[in-house]
Amino acid sequence: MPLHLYIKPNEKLIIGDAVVVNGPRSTTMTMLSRTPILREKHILTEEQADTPLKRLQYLIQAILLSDGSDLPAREAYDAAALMLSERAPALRAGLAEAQNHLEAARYYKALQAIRTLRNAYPHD
Amino acid sequence: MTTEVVLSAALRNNLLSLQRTQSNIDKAQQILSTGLRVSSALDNPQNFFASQSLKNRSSDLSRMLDGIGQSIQTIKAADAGVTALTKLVDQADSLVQSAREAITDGQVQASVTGNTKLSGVQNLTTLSGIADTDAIEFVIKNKDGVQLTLSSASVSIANNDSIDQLISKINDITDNTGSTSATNGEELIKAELDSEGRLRITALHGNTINITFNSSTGTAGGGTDQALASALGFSNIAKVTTTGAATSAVEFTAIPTLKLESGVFYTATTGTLSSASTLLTATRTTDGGATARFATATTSEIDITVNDRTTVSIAFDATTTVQHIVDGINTNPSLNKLLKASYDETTGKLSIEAASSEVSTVRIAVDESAGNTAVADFDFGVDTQFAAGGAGGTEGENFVFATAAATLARLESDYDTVLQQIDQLVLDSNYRGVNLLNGDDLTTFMNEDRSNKLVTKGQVLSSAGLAIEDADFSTLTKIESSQSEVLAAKETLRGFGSTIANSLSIIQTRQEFSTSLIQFLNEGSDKLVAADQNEEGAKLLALQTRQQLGVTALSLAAQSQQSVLRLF
Repeated sequence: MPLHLYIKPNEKLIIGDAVVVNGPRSTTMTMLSRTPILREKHILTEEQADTPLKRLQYLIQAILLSDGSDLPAREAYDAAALMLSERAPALRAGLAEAQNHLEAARYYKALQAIRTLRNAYPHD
Repeated sequence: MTTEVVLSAALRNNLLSLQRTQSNIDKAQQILSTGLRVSSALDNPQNFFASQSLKNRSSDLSRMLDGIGQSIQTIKAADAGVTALTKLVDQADSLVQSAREAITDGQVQASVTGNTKLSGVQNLTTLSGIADTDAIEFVIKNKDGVQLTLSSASVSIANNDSIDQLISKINDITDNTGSTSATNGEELIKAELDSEGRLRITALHGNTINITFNSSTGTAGGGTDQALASALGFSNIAKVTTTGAATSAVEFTAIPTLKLESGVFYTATTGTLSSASTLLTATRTTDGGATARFATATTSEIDITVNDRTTVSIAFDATTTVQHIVDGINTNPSLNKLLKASYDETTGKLSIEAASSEVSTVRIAVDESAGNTAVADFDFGVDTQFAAGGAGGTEGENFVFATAAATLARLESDYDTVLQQIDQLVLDSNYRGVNLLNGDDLTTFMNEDRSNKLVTKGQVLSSAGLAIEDADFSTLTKIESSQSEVLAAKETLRGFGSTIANSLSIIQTRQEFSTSLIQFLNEGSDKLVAADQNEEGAKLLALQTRQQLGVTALSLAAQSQQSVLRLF
């Protein structure tokens, strides 16, 4: 199923292993094959990942960009998510949802689940 | 070539963030362990110093409170002392009361003891002054003044009678009042030899006894009667009743008290007793009766002789009232040390009581110097009427008062013991060097800077402080003065008790207030600096989580997408 994207002028995005930047005009494009895609506004750099949930998002982002091949990142994520769900019971449901998506290799959905959690608990 | 490990910017950033987290963890741990949100002036200077000042005041107050606690104990000790002192003073009071009763009511029996050793005498008639058929006559009146019928009113000494036989004869006399049998009544007289072999005759049941010595030879009231009394040892107390007249007797009346009480002074008006201002000649022996108690001539006197030494004559004529007799005794400087007279208008009785334990015999007589007839009927003892006739004649009755000296001496010594106990108790009431009962003042500081204080004034409550003199129960006046001293002492103790109770109540109120104040100060101080343990605990957990996640991230920072992400 093709994915239609609207790209803002000068917007950066990652497609697969590549970093692409749009020209001065807005454009649309359609992805015909399956590859990891991340828009500039969703990208988290390590410097920005300064809270537990942001760390988790950063790790999922690493898993997503490696299409599940970054095993150390996956291990780190599992350990961190387990610890966090023990210490912060309120986050458990959201973390479980993200975990389900990860198990099913739906990395983008997992990322969205964490972002939803972050919106609910902006300080964690 | 350098071997230094170069940290990338991302690593460096992570490191800084970890260090910050660690410092926050350290701080949270300190807060949790001390329980203080603000533990030094650096944390929050305003709260820290405000809390410190509250805490200082609270600890000053606590120290002051310890002092208050000690003051309360001191006052409680004093209060216990006052309670005990009150009991001792009550005891002294009852001793004085007993002394007073002993001297006035004489809770003793009418008793006389001779002064001659008679033990072992086998034949009384061999003694000089005693002859065959000499008689001793008895008249006994009970407490209500009713003369009793005796089984035998007279005891006769026969030849060869020993002293023991005489005693036995006297002891055989029984009460025969209202009875036809001569022997079934109760015993009335107890005759015995005392430890020194002297004859002692005691009227039982608190009765009054009159004993007349009647010699078988000579005239009545003459030298032989006197010799008989003397031989039996009663020369000091048995006296003639009448002088200047033919009819007399050698006798005495022993009373069970130290008080002579007359019969009722009625008037000619039925139902009306004599008042103090009634003329003596207007008094009657019966209610509304015709018989006057007193008849007088212009030169009559009432003679009162105490202990056979002090004789005072009170003028007695047609203008003399009952009050004049009372005043004649009470205002006479030699008599009022020994006797005290009073007239009770509600009972109509004239009383003459011993005011000193020295009083042993009293003679009341009527004296008519000009040879006219004077009559006085006081009805004090067993003789109903004294009638003096003939020039310089007197007639009277010789009373032997019950002796209270031994009782009084014992009471005096008990009283002095109580006083000593009072003094010792006062000395022992000291609490940590402060003795409120011995005149020390107790200062209780009520606030931390000692500007507000309460001084509880002590008082000297020893026998000297209470102004109780050592016992001297020799006269009624002295007993009465002891009595008023004791009463005043009770008042003093009561007053002091209420003063210290007031102090105690003030100090206790202040103690409660200070205790609450200390609590409020501590609470206030804690609120400024104390940590919320739950909040701090959660914060620490969050910090530790962050730190552990941070360590994970550090290991990631060097990997995979760094090159890609660096472009963002």
